[in-house]
Amino acid sequence: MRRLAALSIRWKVTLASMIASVTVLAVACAVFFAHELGRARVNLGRSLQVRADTIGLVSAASILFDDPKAAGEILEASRVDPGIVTAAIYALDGRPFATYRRRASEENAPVVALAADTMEGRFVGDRRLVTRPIDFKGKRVGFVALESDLADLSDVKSGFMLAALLVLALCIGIGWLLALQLQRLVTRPILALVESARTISRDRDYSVRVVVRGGDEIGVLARSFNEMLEQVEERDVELEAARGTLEHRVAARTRELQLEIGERCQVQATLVRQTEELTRSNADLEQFAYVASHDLQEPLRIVASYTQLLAETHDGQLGPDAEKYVRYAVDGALRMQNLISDLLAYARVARAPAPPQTVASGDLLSRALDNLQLTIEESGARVTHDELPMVRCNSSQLVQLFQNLVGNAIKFHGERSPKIHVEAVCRDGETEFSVRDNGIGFDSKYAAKIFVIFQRLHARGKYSGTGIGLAVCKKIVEHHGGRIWVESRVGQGSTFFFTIPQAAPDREAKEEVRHVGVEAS
Amino acid sequence: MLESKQAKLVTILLVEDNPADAELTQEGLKRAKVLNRLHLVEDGEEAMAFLHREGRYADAPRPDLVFLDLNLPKIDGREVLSMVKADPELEHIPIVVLTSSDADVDVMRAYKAKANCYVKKPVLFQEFLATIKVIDDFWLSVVKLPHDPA
Repeated sequence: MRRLAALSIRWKVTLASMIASVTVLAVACAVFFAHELGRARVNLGRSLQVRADTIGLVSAASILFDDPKAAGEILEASRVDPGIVTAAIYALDGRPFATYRRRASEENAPVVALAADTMEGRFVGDRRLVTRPIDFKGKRVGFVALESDLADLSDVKSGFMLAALLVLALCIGIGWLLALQLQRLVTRPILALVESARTISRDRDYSVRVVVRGGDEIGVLARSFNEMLEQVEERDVELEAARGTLEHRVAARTRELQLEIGERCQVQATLVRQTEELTRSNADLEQFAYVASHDLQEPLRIVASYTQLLAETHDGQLGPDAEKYVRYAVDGALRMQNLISDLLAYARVARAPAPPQTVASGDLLSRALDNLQLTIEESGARVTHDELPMVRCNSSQLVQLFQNLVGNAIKFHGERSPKIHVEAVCRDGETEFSVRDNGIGFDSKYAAKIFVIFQRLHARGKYSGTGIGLAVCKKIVEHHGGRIWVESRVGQGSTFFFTIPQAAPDREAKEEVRHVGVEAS
Repeated sequence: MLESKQAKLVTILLVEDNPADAELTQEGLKRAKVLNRLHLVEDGEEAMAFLHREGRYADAPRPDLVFLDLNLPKIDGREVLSMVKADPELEHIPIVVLTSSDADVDVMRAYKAKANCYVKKPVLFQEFLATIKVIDDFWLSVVKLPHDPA
């Protein structure tokens, strides 16, 4: 069965038509054969009957004349018919009157028995029996019985078989040739389809088309196949075009990227150069800071100390003016020293970008207030605050910021004892702090100016300070990516606001805790 | 009260390149009423010669205390500090760094080089005097200094 399934469709179609035609032919032969056989039999019976009647007609006289010899001779005449095996003439009483045997070998075989009931004849085994009455002038005188073999029938059979075989062989031959030719009608388009499919799958050539013959199902299949191929080909072309476009775009983008990379390399080189310059200028600044903190202070100290020593050694000998001058000189030197240390603090804000930590701003305010403890006690200030949030910041700088703002608020107090309140709100991704005081306040037109370094609103004699403290505050806030501003009215106190972004930009730097000078202290 | 405890004459080496500063320190010591013999050298090289008793300092005494400025000509005060503290003969001598600098880096480096203390000179003369007095009281009266057998 599996072998059958593996057969080519050509052979399947051929075989199918062959099997059908041979079967039909065989059935026809069989029917025809049966019919022929029946007719042969009838003919045989009929000729035997005629012969028996003839014998009866001729032998009636011999029976009447009781001449068995003559009857025997008449029977002997049956020898002309090679089919008759035995024959007998019976008297009316059933006594055999004359017998005939074709061959001596048949001697033992009983001569056909009288069978009155088979006047029409019958087949017994491979023999045919027939019994006919013998009448003379309307009076029954005896019976004749004949026994014939079926040699004639066999001849008919074998002849027919031979003929049938010949016809069958001829038909198979012709049928095979016809089937072989006719199967092409069905298989050729299928095979063409198969061949095309094979070519396409092998060569990936979608331009191949199947030749469409006829409008039958195979034709429909072939047309559908062609349509499918057309679609595939169209898609192939589109795909090719898309690939072309894509390659073009990739090439273009690659060129752009190369250009961009080139630009970035240049930018990076510039950055490296700038970083180097920055490092150098930082080193210069470091050097400046050192010079400021050492070399500038030494002459200052000498001036101040010797002015004082001079005054001391001439105690009482200097006039009141001279003593005043000495005081001015010493004050100048002291202020110069404060200026230097505050300037250093200002410079350090940008130089010490410690990594931002997340800390409780309330703790930082407490640290600032600890640092201001003496000032707070002396001024009798009351500093209160709401609950303060966690912030990401450089904690030492934020302490400095609180310290400067609270210190400022205390310093610029009015006649009332200073009251300072610190609070914070979180909004828009940043924390907004406010430091509110009940101090002297100032005209709001100076609101921006007071954050400028060395900018002061009051005479030196009234309020001390270098004018750097709020500049330091601004720098610290901006260093954290925030803003600082102030709202104030003369005599109504001031509120300083500053914001710290909740996710401060990461800055890579080593923690470097430095003490920054305070204007307020 | 302190003088009674400090019967011995204290030898101090002052390393200071600025005569004005040197004089201020001398004045301070004088007013602190510490019985002392002050030797002044003006640079690090001389300071080392003095301590090693070389050249014209062959007969120099071994100081009980050194007042050292940091910024000095020739050999820097920081180097002097390192050299003294690395010398088994001299390392026991207490060194007071007395300077105008309040740079963090100087303070840290001085203590890392085993300075015994670091003092920034105050600007005001009165404060300076007070500082010198405190140093003297502490190093020359309060603490017990190692006795140099030489």
